[in-house]
Amino acid sequence: MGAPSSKKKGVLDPIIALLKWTWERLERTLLLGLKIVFPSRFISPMGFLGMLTVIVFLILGVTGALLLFHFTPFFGNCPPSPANVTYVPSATCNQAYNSVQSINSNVAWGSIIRNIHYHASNAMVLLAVMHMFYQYFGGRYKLRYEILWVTGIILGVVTVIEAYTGYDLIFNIRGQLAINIGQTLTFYSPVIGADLARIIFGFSFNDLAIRFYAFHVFIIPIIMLAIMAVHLPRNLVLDIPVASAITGIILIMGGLFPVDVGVKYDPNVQTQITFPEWYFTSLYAFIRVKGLAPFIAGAIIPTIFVLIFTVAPFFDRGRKIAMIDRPFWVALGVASLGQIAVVTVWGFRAANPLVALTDPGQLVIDPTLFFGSLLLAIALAYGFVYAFVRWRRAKMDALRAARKPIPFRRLQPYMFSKGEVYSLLGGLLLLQAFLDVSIFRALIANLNNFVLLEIGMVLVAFAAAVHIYRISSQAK
Amino acid sequence: MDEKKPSTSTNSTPPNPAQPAASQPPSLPPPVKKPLISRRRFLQGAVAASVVLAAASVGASGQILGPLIPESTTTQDIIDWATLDGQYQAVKSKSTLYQPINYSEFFYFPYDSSVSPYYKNVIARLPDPLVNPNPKYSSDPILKHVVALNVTCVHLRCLVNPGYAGNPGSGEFRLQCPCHGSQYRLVDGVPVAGPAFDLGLNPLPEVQLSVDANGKISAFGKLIGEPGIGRTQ
Repeated sequence: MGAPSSKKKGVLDPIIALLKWTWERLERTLLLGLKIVFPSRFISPMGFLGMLTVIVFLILGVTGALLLFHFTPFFGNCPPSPANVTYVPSATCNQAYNSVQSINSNVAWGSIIRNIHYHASNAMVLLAVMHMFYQYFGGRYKLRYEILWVTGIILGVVTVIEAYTGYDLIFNIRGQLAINIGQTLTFYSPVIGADLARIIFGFSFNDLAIRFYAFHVFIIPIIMLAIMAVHLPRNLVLDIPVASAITGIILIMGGLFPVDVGVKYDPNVQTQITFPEWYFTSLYAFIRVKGLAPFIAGAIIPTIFVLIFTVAPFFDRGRKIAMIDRPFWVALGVASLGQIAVVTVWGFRAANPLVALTDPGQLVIDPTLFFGSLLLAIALAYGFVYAFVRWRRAKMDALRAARKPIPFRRLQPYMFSKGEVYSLLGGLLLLQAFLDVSIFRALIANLNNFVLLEIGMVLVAFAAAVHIYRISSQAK
Repeated sequence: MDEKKPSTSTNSTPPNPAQPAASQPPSLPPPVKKPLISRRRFLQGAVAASVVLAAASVGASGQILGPLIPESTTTQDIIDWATLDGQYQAVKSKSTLYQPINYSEFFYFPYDSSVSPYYKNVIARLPDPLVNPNPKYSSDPILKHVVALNVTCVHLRCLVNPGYAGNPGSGEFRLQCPCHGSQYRLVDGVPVAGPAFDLGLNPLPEVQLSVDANGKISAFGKLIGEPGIGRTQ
């Protein structure tokens, strides 16, 4: 850490001494107890998807905190117009939505921050699900990882609830649909339903706004941090280039697909047909199945699905973790992925795509078709994967019996020559400089999406530069 | 394990030599009076009870989680019978007759529009062959031709609309939910099509109406039913 004593005195010596002094005293704190590994070569990001989720969580925390300054958690009053008078919405109608719209169009950097917040929330849900499935297929719920696994499942569910409270706060018709469904499901919960609904959703819509604000901004994040304290493993991998690239990709997505505010919810205007966020369309599909009670569709079925994953480590008792040794569990995982895919697609789909969505019965799903496609997808995915894994294992066993070497591909990393490194790094620096100048020009011209896109590209370029640095600094 | 300790300590007490029991053979120790509960068990139980009582003392504080329920309106003027009937008479012989939105009016009751959209209701003049079969709250001749329903869909709480372009001429007048297409009879709010019908849910809650000598219709009391609740548990 410190400079060698044989060196001459330099101007930086007092600063280095101060850093060293601080570092030594930090050993008395909790901070240095965390073992964070900064990998010196490229390793697959699949192994540290959890850490990437944490990084996205931090991005959400920062952008969310900035949005707090401008958001109004208040619904207001939407009085109907008197008879025979054209309806004009009152200025105090749906102030929460009005404030989000003002963030999007008036507040300096508002649309940029909101875009990052929105796309980061999608990324967090996606990364958390990917993290779960990667650990599942890797059998990483075994080997005394059971508590990490169960807390991870809980954390995943809480993450989705956090996302739910977030998009409801906008009070557009999409958020309103989610509020309506959530309230219905809660009311139908046995015994405590009505009381629970009053506690979660309040009585008036102003209650609802302030309650969801409290949940989204403070209560659920605190719960997530508490669960994280148990869920984080002792050894963490923080890969700066990949973390930077993920951040960059989120920003690029924000620039390319800027999120809009949606249609304002006003109880005096007839609502339009809308679909939930992509992580809820699966539940929405179940809720829309003809004759299936909402509580069974929206609460019991997903709970069973989550429970199956939660208890996996207590039934998959074998010591082996390789996929090839767990054909049943691998097939089950693929089947559940297939199920999620089919149900999610159903969620976006109307009964007849050729007829207008507003036609009666368009959003009602035929149970035979729905459950039929579901069962078919599960059976096909399960059958094929199970057969494939068994076949692979038989082949390996045969190779082993014949004492033949098991084929194994090893990728040799490509090493840059000195000239290549110089030109690549130089090019990247030039690109970053050009983008930085361009960002300022875009800011002046008020091209917010362009700004977002370019900041994302700068971050990806930074990731590339650090990656080139680390692979080339090891070469001779 | 807990019971062993006290018993060994009582065993070790020397027998009193002054008593005649001393003459008995040593193979028969004096009958040990087993304590009802060991000292350790007693202490553990006492602490556990204390924990429960301490928790119970703040248990009722959970009430802070409950929302403040605003005061409800007891009676509210809605519309004049003459106005409502006039709207109906204007479209009576036109094709727009099958859009009950043309002779109906929205109002919020028993909580006003600043509270919750779920207390939005509609009052409609029933098209002529139809009469409110049994106004549970009144038998006034005017109120036979009027119905007032809460518009919160009992399926998933969207706000339904009076207006159904289904079968003009069929004599059916319905309210329709824009979200998932549940349809309710205008006469009494009973679901007749869509998810609310498939699930066999309750009718839309009805608003109790009264009418004064000048023909002013007003709402009073509570809704018959809970807004948005399609199934009584």
